[in-house]
Amino acid sequence: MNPHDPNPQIPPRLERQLRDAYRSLDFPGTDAAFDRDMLAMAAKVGVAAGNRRKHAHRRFRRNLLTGLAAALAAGTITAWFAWPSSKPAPANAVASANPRDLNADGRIDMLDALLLAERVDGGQLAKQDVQQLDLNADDRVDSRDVKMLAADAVSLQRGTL
Amino acid sequence: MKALVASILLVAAAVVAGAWSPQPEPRVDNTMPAATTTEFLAYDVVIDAGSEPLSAWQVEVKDTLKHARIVGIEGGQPGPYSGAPHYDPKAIQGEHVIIGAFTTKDAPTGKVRVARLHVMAEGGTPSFTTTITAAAPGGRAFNATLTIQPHTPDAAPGAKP
Repeated sequence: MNPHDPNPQIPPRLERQLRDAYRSLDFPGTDAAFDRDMLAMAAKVGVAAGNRRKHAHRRFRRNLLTGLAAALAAGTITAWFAWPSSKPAPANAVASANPRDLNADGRIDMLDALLLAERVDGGQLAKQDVQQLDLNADDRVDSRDVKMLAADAVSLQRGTL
Repeated sequence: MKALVASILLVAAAVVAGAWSPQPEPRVDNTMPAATTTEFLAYDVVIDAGSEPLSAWQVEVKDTLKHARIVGIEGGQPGPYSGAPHYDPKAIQGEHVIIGAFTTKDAPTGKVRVARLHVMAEGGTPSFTTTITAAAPGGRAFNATLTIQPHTPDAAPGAKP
């Protein structure tokens, strides 16, 4: 409804309620013209109040959205600057599927070198072991591969401290 | 709308202030640098394996104070660990090293000096943080005790003069 409408109309339901209210009072001498004037005045008042409510509601919603957007922006920027850099997982924590992790404890260390040395000494190498543990790619697994594995175990990149 | 603009300006001002905050001017120190003491020290790496045969071991050592620079790594007492252990050559001149060795032959028990670290200490005494991994034949890990002690010819087990 337009508040500047010279001939505003009130909602039919409100009109019905007002008519019922006046009818119940049963003022003598109330004529149709008075009814119209009263209804027009009520409509103006109602429209103005409705508009005020609508404006207040819009203002509240706008302020709420603005506040939320500002809070979100501030939080994002704060998190961007303050978030601690994530520490990478220790380099010696490897998937146990790594063929060099012979004891499958999730890390490559001197214990794996010992196990490989024992297998080489005991001739307990399967064909699959040769494929996976031939570290220097000379088509055999021997003490040189054991040394390579031991050197890998003490690489500083595997450190935990 | 005003609130939105104000919020954005506030956040932007905070970010700019954080990024452009005046850096402290570098101090010009006209005093003579304090004389730093430099020492060459040797530390025995001793593992107490108890009753377990020490078939493999790996030790990580780091000087948290960064006074130490590792200048040499020597083997341990006579026996399977008399030779220099495996280590990453990048550890030399640094304060952090991982050393380790294994044997498939008769493994020693009890207190075993497995290595000796030679360090150059500047500005103070090193403070070492350590980790240890030890294993018996077959790669069975067990708990062993590690000691990094200043080298004294008479105190270290199996010490060479």
